[in-house]
Amino acid sequence: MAAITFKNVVKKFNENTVVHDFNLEIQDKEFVVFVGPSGCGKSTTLRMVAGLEDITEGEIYIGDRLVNDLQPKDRDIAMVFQSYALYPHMNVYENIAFGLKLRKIPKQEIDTKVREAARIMDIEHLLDRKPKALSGGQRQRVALGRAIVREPQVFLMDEPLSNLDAKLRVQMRSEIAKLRHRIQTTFIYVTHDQTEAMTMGDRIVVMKDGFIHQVDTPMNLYDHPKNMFVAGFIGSPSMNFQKAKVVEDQGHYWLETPVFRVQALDEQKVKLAPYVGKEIVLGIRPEDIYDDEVVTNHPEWSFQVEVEVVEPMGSENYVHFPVNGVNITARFEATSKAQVAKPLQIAFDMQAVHYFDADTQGSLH
Amino acid sequence: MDQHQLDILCLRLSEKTGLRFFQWNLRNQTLQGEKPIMISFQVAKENVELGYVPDNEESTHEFSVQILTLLAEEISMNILQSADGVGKEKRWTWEMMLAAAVQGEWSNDFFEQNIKIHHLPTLDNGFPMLIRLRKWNEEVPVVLKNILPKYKVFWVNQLDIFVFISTRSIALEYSKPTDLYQWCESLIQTIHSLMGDELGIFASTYVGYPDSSNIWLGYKEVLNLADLQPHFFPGEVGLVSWKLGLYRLIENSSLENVHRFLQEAFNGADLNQELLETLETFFALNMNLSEASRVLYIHRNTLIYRLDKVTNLTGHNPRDFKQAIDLYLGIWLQKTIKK
Repeated sequence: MAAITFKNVVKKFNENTVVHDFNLEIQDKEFVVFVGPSGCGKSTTLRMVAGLEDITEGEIYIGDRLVNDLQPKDRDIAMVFQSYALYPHMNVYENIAFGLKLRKIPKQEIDTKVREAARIMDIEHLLDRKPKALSGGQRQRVALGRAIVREPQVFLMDEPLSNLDAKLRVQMRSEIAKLRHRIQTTFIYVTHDQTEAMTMGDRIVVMKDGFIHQVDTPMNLYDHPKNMFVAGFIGSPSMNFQKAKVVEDQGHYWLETPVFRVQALDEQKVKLAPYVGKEIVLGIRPEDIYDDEVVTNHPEWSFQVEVEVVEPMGSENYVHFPVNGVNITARFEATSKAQVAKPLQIAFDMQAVHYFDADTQGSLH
Repeated sequence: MDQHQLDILCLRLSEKTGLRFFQWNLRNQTLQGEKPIMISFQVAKENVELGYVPDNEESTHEFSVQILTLLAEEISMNILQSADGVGKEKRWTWEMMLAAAVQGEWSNDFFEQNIKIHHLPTLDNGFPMLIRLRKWNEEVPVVLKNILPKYKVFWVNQLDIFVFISTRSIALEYSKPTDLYQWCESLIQTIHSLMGDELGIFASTYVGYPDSSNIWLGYKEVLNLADLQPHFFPGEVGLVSWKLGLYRLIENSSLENVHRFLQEAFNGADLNQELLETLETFFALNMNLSEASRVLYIHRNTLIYRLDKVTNLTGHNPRDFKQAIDLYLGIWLQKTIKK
């Protein structure tokens, strides 16, 4: 178990900087998720911790030890990759034991550790099987077993669920969460899937183009995104955006577009004041759009749209409609009356809207 | 194997590797103070034991010993099958290349001159594969041997390991030819994961098309993939020949041709960042106006205005599929040249 500290870490490939001035402190036993689109530098950062990539500038500490020049095998880490790679001709027992054999651990100790890891991962009954005879989920469990058996200070996971089908992914997500509670160690988990990030991480590091955009708890990221990228990346379906002009009318601030005019809350006046007469970006999550009594209770938040698509999800409906030429997605109750090609009165919950600077894309505080 | 054949074998092994080979059971006082390494193998059910004097630490390594054993086996089989191995014109076979590789003495010229014209009739059809490591560790051969237990052909040249995967040996497991290709693709991740996990070594793997007729071309092909991947597929940990796509087309194009195409595609116009981003998003979303305007946070009409502006500047309408291809390729080529 150990804390991990990144100090001004930079990674360059030739002239190309892929990780910029990365600073982060991960607490002992914390589960931190690096999330971001492909090419954002999250895997490269993880590989620097593992020692697979050299660090161009800066320092990485595991516990108190500076690991920049430490051999990967001496870093006391274990890594799980997305391919859940196993040795094809070895059975499960041998696969789990192999890493320990390489480290010249005594046979008896290996046996004890392998059986304990198998018990934790609930694969004791599979120990004699070859990888070919295992399902995708079972293989991934063996891959996790291979990591557990080393009792590392830090677990590094690089998109470990991406190769699994949707159902198995959900199942393995909870397996990893359980594993985390059982073995109580530090985890860095890399994914491009915001749902995985939200459900698994104590804290989430949102990255793009090699920069950290925000580090926070899942709920803080959802409630208080620092910029439009984080706002759009976290949450599913993603946040809707509309460019709107801030106008003052009879003591109130309004957000005005060619299609709608909605009233901002008075307590939001302070942050909107510098933008009166200017264009900002209004962000609204699909779950903060209503077609029920909110419409009648708040006519100042309401306007009419024409529904394009209704997607019944069972417990709710995803309803799509264009506003100012941009597609908006709303998440309504399953009882919603929304019908394709019919007009619908909707309301933005102005208590839940987010405002962003149209130029910097930063959140207005 | 008679004494004459053994002498020839030792001579040829010594010639090809630069190491001093001798019959193990005839070692004598000339080895005083030197620590010979023994290799033993079977030729036509007969045990042969040879020794050699290592010239450096590398040639005493278990992996080198294995390669030298393979080399000795191959040469001895050749000698047994045709007694004319010596004294005639050099006939380059793959075991000679292996020998050269072990010594790290190859160069493009060396292979071009000596090997490219020779076919390898005894070699199965197979996939040439290059594993490029960032570091070396003595456990690398152990891990690799366990990932690829059936494939014994390894060339090692510093941090590059060349593996020739015989399709015959994997065909039993995979019924359809496409499975073989998929298996090769999955190997890239497997090797990366296991090398990374067990040894903390970053490994990238490159696989070429299966071809037995010219192993040198196969080797060159995977070397080429290894050069292309960091530039064009920077996030990947390997590349297979059959996924090169458009890159294969420009690979052999002259820069002059590429610039000429760019001139034609953009009509000499220098599109600003906003227009380039607009085009890229529009193409990435399958030329869907609604989706692109949503992602760009702009009004649909603004998007149409920008696309019309591109048409005016370049003479190519991005909303027309055929004309969009030129613009798409143009943007992609510009980026590629920058890389």
